[in-house]
Amino acid sequence: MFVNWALQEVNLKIVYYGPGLGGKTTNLEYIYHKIDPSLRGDLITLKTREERTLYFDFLQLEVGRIKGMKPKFNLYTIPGQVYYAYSRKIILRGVDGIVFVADSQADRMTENLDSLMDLEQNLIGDGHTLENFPWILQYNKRDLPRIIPVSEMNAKLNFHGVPAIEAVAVRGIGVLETLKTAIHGVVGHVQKVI
Amino acid sequence: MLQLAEKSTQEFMLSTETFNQVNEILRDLVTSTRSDFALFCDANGNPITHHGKQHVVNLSGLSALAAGNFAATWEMARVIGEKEGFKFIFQEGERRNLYLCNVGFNFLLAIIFDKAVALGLVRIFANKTVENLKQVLDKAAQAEKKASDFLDAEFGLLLGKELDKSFNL
Repeated sequence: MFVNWALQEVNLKIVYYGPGLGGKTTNLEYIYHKIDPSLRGDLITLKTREERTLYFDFLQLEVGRIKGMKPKFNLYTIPGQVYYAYSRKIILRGVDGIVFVADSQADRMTENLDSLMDLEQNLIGDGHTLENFPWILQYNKRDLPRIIPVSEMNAKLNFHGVPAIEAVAVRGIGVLETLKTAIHGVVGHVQKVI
Repeated sequence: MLQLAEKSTQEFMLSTETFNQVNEILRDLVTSTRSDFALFCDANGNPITHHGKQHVVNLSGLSALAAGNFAATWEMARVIGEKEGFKFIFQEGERRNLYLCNVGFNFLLAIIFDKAVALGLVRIFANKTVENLKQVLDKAAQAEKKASDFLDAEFGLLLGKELDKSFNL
């Protein structure tokens, strides 16, 4: 969290984490197109030639003044592919909350678990754990065939009982609910620790 | 809370007094070097303040990219055995150049200047500016308020309403 008293701004950083091709960028793209342009900045995407996220995507959102302060939410995605491990560490620096975008397809559970372990390792490196850090789950691609039931997704990924939201990010289903839940989690956590 | 220059902290509070001092330093830098623009941001990618011509409209984007770029370059230095990192990043454009350097551990300074301005001049004044900024940040006054002054249950409630309005939920 960064508070600039002169400008009365509160900056909070939320990172979309998860395996490659899970829908993290799609979440940000939907938010970008859905939100009133006066409340958001440009969507910055650093992609490879194969349209995969190379470094990060970035989008800043604002809402109106609250108690005299201007909250700004800085949304980042990380590259999901295993070989971009260092990029993920850099982007997590100063993070206030995480949205873990899990792929619901049956053959993607190993990638979900690997990515979640990778997240925990990176958080530990920064002095946090999944237990004491505000994060939520999004079970994406619920419209596809051969998906894992939510109860099984919960059993495998949601061992800390965090909020879990079903989504179809390409159609915008669950995207804004996810973001709102994440923001509430972050603000609630900050209230607890300050 | 204001161990700004050297420690990595999760939470920054920047006082109005410090903000004004940083602004003055940036103004001096831009005037002395005849640069177009100077941006001061944190290493997490949050813009703090800027001075100069307003052709850079997306300050949050520039700050996020500067922070990502600097972190990656820092790691490149480590990979080739430069333990203290590189001193600065310089990018040469057709009309404008970009100079980027760190201010302690937590902050970055980006300077955009015309091709006609000598890099050496920018480098000298950038070094001086970094020292001045470090001094100000080291002696930074305690922020006038605490986050707990506004981040309470009412804030959470009002934020929820604002988000519903913004998201049309």
